[in-house]
Amino acid sequence: MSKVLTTCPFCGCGCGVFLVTEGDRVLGVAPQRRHPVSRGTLCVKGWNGHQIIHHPDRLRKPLIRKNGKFQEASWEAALSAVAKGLASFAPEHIGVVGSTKCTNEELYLLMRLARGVLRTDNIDTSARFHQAPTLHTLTAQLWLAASTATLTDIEKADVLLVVGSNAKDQNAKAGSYLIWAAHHGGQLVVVDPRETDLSHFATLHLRPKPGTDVVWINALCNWLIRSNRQVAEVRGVNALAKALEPFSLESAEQLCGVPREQLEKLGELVSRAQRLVLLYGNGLTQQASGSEAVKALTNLLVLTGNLGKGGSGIIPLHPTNNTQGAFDVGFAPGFLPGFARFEDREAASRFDRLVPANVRQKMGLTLGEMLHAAGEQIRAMYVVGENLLWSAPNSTAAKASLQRLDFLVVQDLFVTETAELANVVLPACSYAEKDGTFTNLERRVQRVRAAIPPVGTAKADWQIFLALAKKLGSSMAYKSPQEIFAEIAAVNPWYKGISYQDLEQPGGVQWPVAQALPSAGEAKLLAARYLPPSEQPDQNYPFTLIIGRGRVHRVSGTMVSRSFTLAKEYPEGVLEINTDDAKELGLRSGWKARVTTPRGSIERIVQVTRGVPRKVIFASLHHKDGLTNSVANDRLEQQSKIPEMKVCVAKVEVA
Amino acid sequence: MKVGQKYTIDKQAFLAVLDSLRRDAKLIGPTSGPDGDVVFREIASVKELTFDYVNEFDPVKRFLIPHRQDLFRFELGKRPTFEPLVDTSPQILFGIRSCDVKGILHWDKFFSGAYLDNYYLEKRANTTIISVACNQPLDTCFCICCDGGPWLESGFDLQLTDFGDRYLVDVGSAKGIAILKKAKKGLQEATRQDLDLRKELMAKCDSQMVPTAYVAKAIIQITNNRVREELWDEMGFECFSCGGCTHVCPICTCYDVADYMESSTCGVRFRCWDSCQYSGFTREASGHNPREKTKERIKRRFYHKLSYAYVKLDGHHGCVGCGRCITACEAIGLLDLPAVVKRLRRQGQPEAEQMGA
Repeated sequence: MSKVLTTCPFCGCGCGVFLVTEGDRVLGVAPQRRHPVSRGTLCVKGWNGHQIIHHPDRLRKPLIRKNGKFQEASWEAALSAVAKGLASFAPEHIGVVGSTKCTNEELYLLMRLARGVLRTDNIDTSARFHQAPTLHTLTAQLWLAASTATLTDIEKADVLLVVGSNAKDQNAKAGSYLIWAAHHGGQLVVVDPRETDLSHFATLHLRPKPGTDVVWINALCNWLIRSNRQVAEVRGVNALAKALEPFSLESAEQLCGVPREQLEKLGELVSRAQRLVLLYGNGLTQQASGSEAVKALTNLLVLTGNLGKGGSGIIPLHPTNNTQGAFDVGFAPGFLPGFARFEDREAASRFDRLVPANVRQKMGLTLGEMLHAAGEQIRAMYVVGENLLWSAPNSTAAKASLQRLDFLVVQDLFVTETAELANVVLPACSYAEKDGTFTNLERRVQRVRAAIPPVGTAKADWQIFLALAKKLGSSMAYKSPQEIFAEIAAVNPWYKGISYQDLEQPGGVQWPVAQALPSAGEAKLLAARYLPPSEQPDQNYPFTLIIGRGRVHRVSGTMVSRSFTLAKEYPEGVLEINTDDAKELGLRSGWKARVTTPRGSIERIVQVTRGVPRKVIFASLHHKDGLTNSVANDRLEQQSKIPEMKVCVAKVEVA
Repeated sequence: MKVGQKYTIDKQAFLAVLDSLRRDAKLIGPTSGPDGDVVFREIASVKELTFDYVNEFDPVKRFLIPHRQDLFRFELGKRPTFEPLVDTSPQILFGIRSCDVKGILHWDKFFSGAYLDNYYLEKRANTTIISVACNQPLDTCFCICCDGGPWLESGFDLQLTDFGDRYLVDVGSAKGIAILKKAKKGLQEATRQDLDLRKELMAKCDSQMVPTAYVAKAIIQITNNRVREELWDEMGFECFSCGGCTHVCPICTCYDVADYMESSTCGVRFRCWDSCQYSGFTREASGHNPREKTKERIKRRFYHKLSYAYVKLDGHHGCVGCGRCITACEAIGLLDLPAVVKRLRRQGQPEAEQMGA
């Protein structure tokens, strides 16, 4: 029995974990006591998620569809079919979807394969569905799409503002530090329409109407400036003050339903804070004003003097283990490694070798756009490690789109619902079977280590990409993830100075090491606009539906439903409804309700609670009784194209 | 040579004996892991061992109760076949600490109660324990509150106390005698001075322990149902239901059983670690769950750890004082055993508080 040290892949926190192995099997896990952040803890996902590794559903051989049925094939035949298939489409007709489960090295290779070999910029990951505003907004204001604080800063901060996340469930390590801070003198402010285990510990709990966050944050910034509580002297304050004129505390109270006194109290707290840490999750990003709300929050950070000051800053709570890595290597349309954008011609020209100039001429489609264009502009897709039918909003429409494709390749651990639609399915290795690095939500680059040989004939994603590149006539060749990492460190200025050997130390290395994080003077204040939700409740659909992950979910449920213990923790999805609304509808806890949105209906077991406001309902993500996402709003926000998954109108009936 | 006798032996001589034992059994001992922390694993030579170590974070549990253990392979059909998968390979656990030995003694009783668990008992019969008296407690250790160490009177095959170039050896069983008899040289009966030296080392170890768990009052509170409901409510909000406390606990043994089908007729029945802190642990087939809420599960955990009913049944309360739950708990400093003992003592009903402590 041996122990192999690696990084937990079940959320963005990146806890240190040992895989306990016997022969070629992973039996369990043990937390890493010397990890500087997790310090010997794991959440329920960390303790039990490893059970997917040897699930009988693991795909062991490539599959090729012949006469409508899958047939097992050799790697040679499958890769030839993929290469031949993809090569027959013009670059603009191909879409490449990577996964935030992939290592940095794999995402970097796939980015090179898509842009350099397939010559398309239609590349994206499901990070689009969760954190796209982080990529688009923070790069515009702070020149990097990443946290400016660390998780351990939460311990030292005196004020903590958490917007749109039940971090206790979704990013447990962050939640763990937040609850500790609340018990040790920290003022915890939680902004969430729902009562959660985290809001229980809050000094202040703001419950704005879904989709209106930008309004109260703008009003708060406006109030700070006008009442001379703004701490930092920064360029652009006057212009910002002018743009924020319409946002008063009164208007915020009216629009968001947050009492003026609460906002004033929050204003006092943040303006007096010695160290302020702002954290935000999908609740803030998945709305029509997603990018605008992140913009407003960044303004708040800068105005209160908490940028460029040790121990304070902003932390996007990434739901997945390598969302940060996907941003870092430039795995998004229009972005290059190190957050350089195509428009920045001087910076972009440095990447000529990786991304040919003609590919840079036109920004590609984002994931949501690709799904909307599937069967039309997009004719072929190469989907790596994403079960889009489960993770995409309006999944019924997403399925119809994927069915319209001429050619679909899926690379995954299992024959997922998405893979069932594919022409070719390639079996990939799990995190336990490959080497590489992940970067966590606080910019910590950490090692992933192979603990067992590949299951069946599965191959690591990076090996598949190299083999495929070769079939497509590329000379791209790397011997190991180490060699690929060295190249990432050479092309991404934020990774400069980090060597693969440095990552051996507990907790790896936090970038940057060779340059500084942005200072207050470098930040750009940008006025944030309020873009109302695309759907407003009316007579037909009187409720607003919020969809969120359950405690055991990573993202879509594809992985956790194959962990024996986690699946047991989540036998059925629930629908939370306010006690008074339930009374009006004649619903009781334990009964079934039908939720109908403009996209369809789902049935869920009701949980009557005072924890959700009136006319708001909360449904947890998928389980075997049908996809919650099938009713979710798939309209895309203007800037970052994140779907408005957190706000959609609904009708509730007794089922 | 008799059980209970004490000897001293030259360290190198003992290690030579240990090395020779590898011919017949897996030798498992402390080594320096990839991040410098101690890792117990099978070794190919005693040269791989480290002697300067604090106790490993995850207990030796995995060598007797693996995280996942296949029980039998089956083939369905008119005449179903079953192939039991009992692991009887011999192993020697060298260098484990007293608290973990205490845990093993608890499992011995648990797995040989009304139902004899062959999977455990066969493995246990083929396991030899050469423990060390602890001389390097962590700042989370409190075994002196739980009779879990730092050294033991019995329960091991051999117990070593590290004197630098010599070991003081306590003989605990016939298995231990057989090992010690292999020593060709350097073996002497322990003297009064040797025993005094151990006393001194152990007193030093005692004095280094930081956390306290004055369980007596907590046992009274919990046994007599004198804990305010609000306290459990509060703990319910704090708990992450990660299961960490149970997974790292040298006493906890709970597991679940399931089948994985490898084809439509063939499969494997296995058991894997489970936790009373998970809602799936007590959910019944109907869907009803007697302990649906987090607070009910925490209450259950500490009832099992501290109530007199279990103290009477097991002969001890459900803790060896290893302090691992202090490190593993996501609700930092709130729900580990010493923390809860303190909260139970201080926040019992008012009249109980007036009674003192």
